[in-house]
Amino acid sequence: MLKVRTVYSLVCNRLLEPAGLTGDSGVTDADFLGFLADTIRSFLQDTEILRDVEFIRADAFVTRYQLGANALGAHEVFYDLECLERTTAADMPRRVNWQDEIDRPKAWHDDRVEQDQIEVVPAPHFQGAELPVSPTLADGETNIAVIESVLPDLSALTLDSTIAGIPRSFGWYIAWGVLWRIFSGDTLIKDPVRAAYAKARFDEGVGLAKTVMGDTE
Amino acid sequence: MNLADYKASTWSRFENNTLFYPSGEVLEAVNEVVDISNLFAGHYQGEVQIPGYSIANQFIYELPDNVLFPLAVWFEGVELEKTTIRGLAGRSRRWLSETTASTGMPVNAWAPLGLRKIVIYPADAIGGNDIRVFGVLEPPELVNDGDPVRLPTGFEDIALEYAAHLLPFKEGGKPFADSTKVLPQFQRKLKEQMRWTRFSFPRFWIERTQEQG
Repeated sequence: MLKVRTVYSLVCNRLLEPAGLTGDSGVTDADFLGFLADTIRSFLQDTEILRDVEFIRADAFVTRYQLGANALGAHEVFYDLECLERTTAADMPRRVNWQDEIDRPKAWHDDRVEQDQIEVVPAPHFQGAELPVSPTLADGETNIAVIESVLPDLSALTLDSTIAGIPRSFGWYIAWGVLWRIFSGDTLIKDPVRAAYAKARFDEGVGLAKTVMGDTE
Repeated sequence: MNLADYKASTWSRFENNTLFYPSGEVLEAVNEVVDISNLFAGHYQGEVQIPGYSIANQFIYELPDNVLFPLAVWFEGVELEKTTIRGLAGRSRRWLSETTASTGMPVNAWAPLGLRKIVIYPADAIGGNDIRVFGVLEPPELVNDGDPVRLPTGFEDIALEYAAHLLPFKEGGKPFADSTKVLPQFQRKLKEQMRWTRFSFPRFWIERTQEQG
């Protein structure tokens, strides 16, 4: 688990403010936390290394469902704990009367819908049970379960937070991502050379995490 | 070599200027070298038990913090077959709800769920069983001068150069720009050892920017 304090210490040292960000470099603690949240969001969006299962209440006759606020995208969708076939919106018209069908959902897609939405077809014929049913898979019975990429909650990030889901070893790359934002921003210490270096190193970390995900999956 | 040796060698490249490059910054640089080398080469490997044993009907397990990524999983001493989340759907469309009791099968497969979790199939209906993960681990954080520094074979010299190159970043300007020559050398060495055949390093933008300027 990555500690914010570890990234902070590294960034402070590389901004010649080893005792902490006093604003001498044009960067405050609040700026740092903002840059850090942006960096983590970007890292996890690009790499999708953090995944979870979300349960959504199925509504009778409703095909479109909004994923949770921290969801980045769906990978697998289940109805009543049965895996649905992934399809595309373009394939939908080939299904006879798909827009009017009401039955047990058989397929899902996430294109031509609003951001972080999925559509299941046919529309469920029953109302799902009220959530949460229990903290177990029972939530998925009569409802929709989604295996999805997620973001940790970044709304209350402090210097003493830990970042769930990002291994400590990737913290060096997160720090490069923060430094890239600092040196490329409209600050007193804007420096295109250091910004370019830090960006290249952050991209290296993103590429590496994506490769690890691809090879381990 | 231990941490003290690495710190001394790094300082020797800066005329032993321990005031401008204090111990904490050198320590960070050496830890960065070890962690990044391990991400590429995966030389810190080991077996770790999932804490708390299996839980009845639970199919997702979070990996212990010190596991970077899993390579193999054992359930009660039996190695499980590795598959993917999509591969599980190929086995059974109801895999999300199937257990050893409902299928009559022993736990026989595992799949990564992101980097930090695994799924076992079918879920163990009884619980209390031993799950072990073999994988690439986080290197222990170097803190004390006597801590041994473990790097892939033949990495020692370039690791020192790389660690020393990180320190002038805070100065910027020519001292840092000059030091960046080390990065492609370090990356070439990483390529020789790396376990990821599909990875390629991003373009080194500093050199290109300077040439264009």
